[in-house]
Amino acid sequence: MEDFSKYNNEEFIYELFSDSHDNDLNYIFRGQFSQNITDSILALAEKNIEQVAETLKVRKRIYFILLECLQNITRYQPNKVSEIEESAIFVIQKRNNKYFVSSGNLIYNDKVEYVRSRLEIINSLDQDQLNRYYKEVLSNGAMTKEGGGGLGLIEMARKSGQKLMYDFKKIDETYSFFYYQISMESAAPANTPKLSAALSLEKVMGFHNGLVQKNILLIYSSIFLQETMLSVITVVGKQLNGSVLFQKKIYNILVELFQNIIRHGKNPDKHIEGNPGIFFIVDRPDTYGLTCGNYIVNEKINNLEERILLINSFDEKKLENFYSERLFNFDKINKFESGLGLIDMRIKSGSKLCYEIKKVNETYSFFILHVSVIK
Amino acid sequence: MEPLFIEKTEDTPSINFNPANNVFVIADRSWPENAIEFYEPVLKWLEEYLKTPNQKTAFEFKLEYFNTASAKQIAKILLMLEKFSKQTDITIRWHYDKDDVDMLTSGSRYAKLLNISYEFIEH
Repeated sequence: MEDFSKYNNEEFIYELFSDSHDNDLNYIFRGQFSQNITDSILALAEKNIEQVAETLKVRKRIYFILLECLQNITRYQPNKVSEIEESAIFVIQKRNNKYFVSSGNLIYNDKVEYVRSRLEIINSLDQDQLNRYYKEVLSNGAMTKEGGGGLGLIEMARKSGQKLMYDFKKIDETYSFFYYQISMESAAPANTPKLSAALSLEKVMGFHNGLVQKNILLIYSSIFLQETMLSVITVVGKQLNGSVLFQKKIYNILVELFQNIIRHGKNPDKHIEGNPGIFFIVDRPDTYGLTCGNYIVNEKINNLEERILLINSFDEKKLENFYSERLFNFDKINKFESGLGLIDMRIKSGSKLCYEIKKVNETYSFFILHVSVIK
Repeated sequence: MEPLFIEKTEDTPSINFNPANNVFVIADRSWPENAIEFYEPVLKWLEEYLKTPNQKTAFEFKLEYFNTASAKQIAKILLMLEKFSKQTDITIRWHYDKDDVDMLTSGSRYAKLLNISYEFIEH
């Protein structure tokens, strides 16, 4: 029997989830940022923003801010960023009708004072002064060799209409982390106000540390929809290295995990369409851990547990027989059900399925499924 | 009989069934949320076609990915073809990428369970 105790972290996962799931949008990415990855992060954000009725002006501005932040990460990313601890963090959230974009990337220690002084100037200026300052920097050619010269930061301040929050954290003799957060008002119709606030910059910094400790590469916590599923999968696929077979396995398993939430998850909040869920990847020496969490109704727990235990009890041959039998069994299937998802994940991953359940209230529980894929 | 063409989308496959050219291909990705709905017209068309089939029908699966919901609908298609293969010459051609062992495994699973001529084509 599989040892489930090592996965005894349902409290941690639920906390992550409940901290963020009633955000309209919540997306945290940690890792090495290549052009490839930033492109797919932008595509995902675009899909997410399409889901809310946002004005073109706000959409364009938020898109500009995202692009600028991601380019700052890739542009200033020092060449030698191999250590996992040194990878950047990027967070997009929408909360109480406000967008929050937080970013943390490495910069050289000797650049810290320059960046800080620029930010102090930017934050001291009003909108008109910012416009003048922008033109001034543009015309006097005060460009650094990396390009920019703070133009990006000025533009973000102009477009967001808000002050930039920022902080620095020294890593070693060479590098510091430069964290900043930009917020922007949404023009979409207001949802019911939520009590908890978005991650403050301070929290993002603490969070970054937590992700590094747990080797979490990416967290996506949002309403799960078929429309955004493919963009998330693309981001994940680009972040994980491996053979063609490995990539395909990951894609297939992700589709099953995500469609499990889309089809079988529950949403206690009847005002919002779609099911909230959380997804994250843990990088381990020999495996990648793929984890999903979502609400289910309490009556379904016994049945679900029985099925997982049964599937886990099978050897390879029995699994194959069980799959084949279910494949040609068309009884009792509804339009979304195939009954094959869990078996397929067990076969493709080559490892037993692990799960955790946390009872939330009389009606709902939070169900967590872990799938380990050998690298 | 009128051919059946369905353009691929990012999560549904392309369908190209054209009896006049003797072409029957399902290709690309099949990740629909609702596989029954997507495959319903495909199965209906096939049922019609099999009433007056061509002398020889080679049915090609050139799928890159498919989810488990689609796996079941593919099983339905194959069962229907198997049923008619006693009256007419039907072959299944299962294409797979040489690095994609999982796609070969999926095809072999169907082949094992069905009594129908089944070819594997490696790319």
